[in-house]
Amino acid sequence: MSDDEQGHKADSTAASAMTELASVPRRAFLQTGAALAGAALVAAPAREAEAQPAARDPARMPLMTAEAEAAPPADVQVIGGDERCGSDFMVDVIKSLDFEYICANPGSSFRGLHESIINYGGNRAPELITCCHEESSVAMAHGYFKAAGKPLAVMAHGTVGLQHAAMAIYNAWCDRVPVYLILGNHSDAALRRAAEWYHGVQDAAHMVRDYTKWDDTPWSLTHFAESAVRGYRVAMTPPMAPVVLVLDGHLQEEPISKSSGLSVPRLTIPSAPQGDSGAVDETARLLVEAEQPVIVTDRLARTPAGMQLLIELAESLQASVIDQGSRMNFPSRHPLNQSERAGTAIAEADVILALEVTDFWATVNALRDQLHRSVRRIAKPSAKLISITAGDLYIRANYQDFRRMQEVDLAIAADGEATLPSLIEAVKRHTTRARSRDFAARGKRLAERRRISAENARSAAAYAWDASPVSTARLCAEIWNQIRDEDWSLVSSYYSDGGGWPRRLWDFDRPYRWLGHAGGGGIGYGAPAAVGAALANRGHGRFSVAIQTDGDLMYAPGVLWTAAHHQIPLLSVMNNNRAYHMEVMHVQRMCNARNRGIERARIGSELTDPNIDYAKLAQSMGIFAEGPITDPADLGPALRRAIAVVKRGEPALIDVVTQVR
Amino acid sequence: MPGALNRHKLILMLSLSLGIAARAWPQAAAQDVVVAGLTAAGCAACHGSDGRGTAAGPAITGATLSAAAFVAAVRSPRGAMPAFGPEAVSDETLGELHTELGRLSAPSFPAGRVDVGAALYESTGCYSCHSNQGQGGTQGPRIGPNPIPLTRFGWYLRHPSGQMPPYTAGVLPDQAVADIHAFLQARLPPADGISLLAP
Repeated sequence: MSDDEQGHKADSTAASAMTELASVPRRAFLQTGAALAGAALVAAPAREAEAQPAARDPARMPLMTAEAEAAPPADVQVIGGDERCGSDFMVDVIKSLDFEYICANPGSSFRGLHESIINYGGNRAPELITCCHEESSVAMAHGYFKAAGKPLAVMAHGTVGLQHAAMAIYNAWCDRVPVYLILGNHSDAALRRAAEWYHGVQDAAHMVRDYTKWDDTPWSLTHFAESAVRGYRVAMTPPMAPVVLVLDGHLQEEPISKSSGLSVPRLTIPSAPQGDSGAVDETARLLVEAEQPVIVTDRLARTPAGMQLLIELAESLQASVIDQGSRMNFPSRHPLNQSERAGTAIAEADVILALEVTDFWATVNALRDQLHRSVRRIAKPSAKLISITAGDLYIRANYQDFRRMQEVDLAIAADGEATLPSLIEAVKRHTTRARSRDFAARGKRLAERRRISAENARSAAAYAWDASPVSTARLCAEIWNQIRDEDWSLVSSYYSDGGGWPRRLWDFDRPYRWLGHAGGGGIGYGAPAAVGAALANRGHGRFSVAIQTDGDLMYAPGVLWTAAHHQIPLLSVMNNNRAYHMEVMHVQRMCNARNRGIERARIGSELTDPNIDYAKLAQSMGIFAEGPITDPADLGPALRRAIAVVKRGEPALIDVVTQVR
Repeated sequence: MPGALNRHKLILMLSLSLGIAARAWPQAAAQDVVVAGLTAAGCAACHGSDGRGTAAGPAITGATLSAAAFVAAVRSPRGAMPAFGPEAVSDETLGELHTELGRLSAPSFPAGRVDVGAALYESTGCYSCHSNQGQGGTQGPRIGPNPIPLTRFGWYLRHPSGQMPPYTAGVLPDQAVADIHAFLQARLPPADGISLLAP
């Protein structure tokens, strides 16, 4: 059921009458926006006033007058042959931005745009994706961007829809992912139907302004066109983040002349900011002179080129790379990948370069989460710390996603990926033959350590191999065995991350193999982000797989229906530990600290009694599903059957009862 | 950190403190030797002057480690313990300390019961970090099979380092500690040659 069922029941005839009375001058107003704040325009220079005669038209009175309200209902009308609607023009603009899809849970405040998309726009580019929750819409857009490299648009009510969407917007904000939000709202109180009072708001974007990069509420179609294109530019310029456009309902619905002469501004994405040349050169010098340089990376690779650039930098130096995993930054099996021994590598380092690392402090320090919290520095006191991040270019108050401040020796406020070419060039310039020989020797040592780490991981995975519930290592090994010959993409593995096993056992060798985490730690990201990413991967013929946690799926399982309805191929394998297990651990920690015993620690965090049957849940929404699987020997055959379904272009789900992590 | 310690110094210090002739060393009680040795070597600050442990370090009495492993644990310790090099305490002195500590009794625990330990392992939340069979995970290391010796295991539960929450005797008695240890000890080693784990 949509949020505005009540609104559909109540239709205002008075509004129709008033629209009729004032339609012509208002159309001119909506097209040009010239009469915004009419009183101010009285004082405008004469030439400007002459250019916009509608501003002085006495008919341009406020729409809601006593006379208008008393007028009898006008005849029911449709738009004329020489007319179209404001939302048709909006679709022209939206199409110019090359959106493939637009996600929405339907709402009356954007019914005009909704209709224009499916009829005027032909429901193609963008195609409307039906969602069962606004949080799903935004999280789908979040996952989609990280697989497609471009935003997906979302429509929602400016009030109740945005309130549903807020958590997912916060995740995208923290993950520096652009989401293009279009909110419907009825600004003019005189035109609101009954439900539109619940759905009306003075400043719709206010609620999410702390965690969006920019917003605007256009008052005319010209204003809309500029803000729509500007918003796209803002969202896509690093540091990327969600933007919000609030579209007045009447602006969408009011007819305009087909010959209105409205134009669509040309989109030009600004180039990403590169680091200062002197600072980049100093960074290169420090890295070349270092004996144990370590490159730490988190949200670096924002395009497919990012991984290749990082490989080139690391190989130029034969330096350790620690991939913290918010993006697919570095191949998991590259000899220089030291992520499995990150703590040791940091402790040994004499120079640490942080590329788009969100939490540099926690990279070089450790916080002990006990009754009396304590901190110790992991990195050597003498280690030189360098950061390159677009995070230094934009920071907001209130929400604390910027993390604890880490003192550094050199801070470069710039986009990491955009800075890599000049940094690589500078490193090569500083590297002598003697240093090259040193680098080669270092590279051999690191390769051997990487080999040992991989061997240790395989050895560790063998423990509890036949246990029930299924170990997360077995789960991930079985999945890998089935998908390794596909052009696969792990679209989500949140929140338990499959026990970390995919990155330890799988060969992540391409930019789309892994898409990173939720960003803000908000549970409920995994399932919709996986569907959104699978939607993007569908166009590339990639095989999408998600390791789906149970608690996450239960936030808004309706996204499974969206996957089935739109035939989005996705293999979801449940990491079903029947609990919000991280919270079990937190409560357990409190029980221990207070010395009260932990027998009750699972109260409030377990998802048992009754156990949830995720296979039936998925089947009820038209998805092929099997489970619950408790015997690991049953897992391989079930995966094979599900993969056959996914390769036919449909989603499938396998419910596996697993160990906790 | 005290200066280099060798057996001669150890005996001398012990003799002075006990008022006995140095040549009477062989007859000195193991306990007294340990007190002097651990104090002089700087071990007592964490492990207690009697070697029976404090909140800062576990008991080191009893023959729980080989002499070589004992020396290695001092030279290249794991966890929070600082390393003690030969300049601080010689191999010879460590050997003597090892011998004397071995003459003292290790902290005693009741016999563990595997089946009870299995239930306790789950109900007391060990599985949360160390996984259901003790094989470890992202939140905690592998602790079975072949867990650390029971005395050290018990001490660590009471005085953990890092992120592990503490288990006092009030919520986890020694019997329960022994039961959980027995459960971990009984875990099976992994099978060899699992094809899905081939490189």
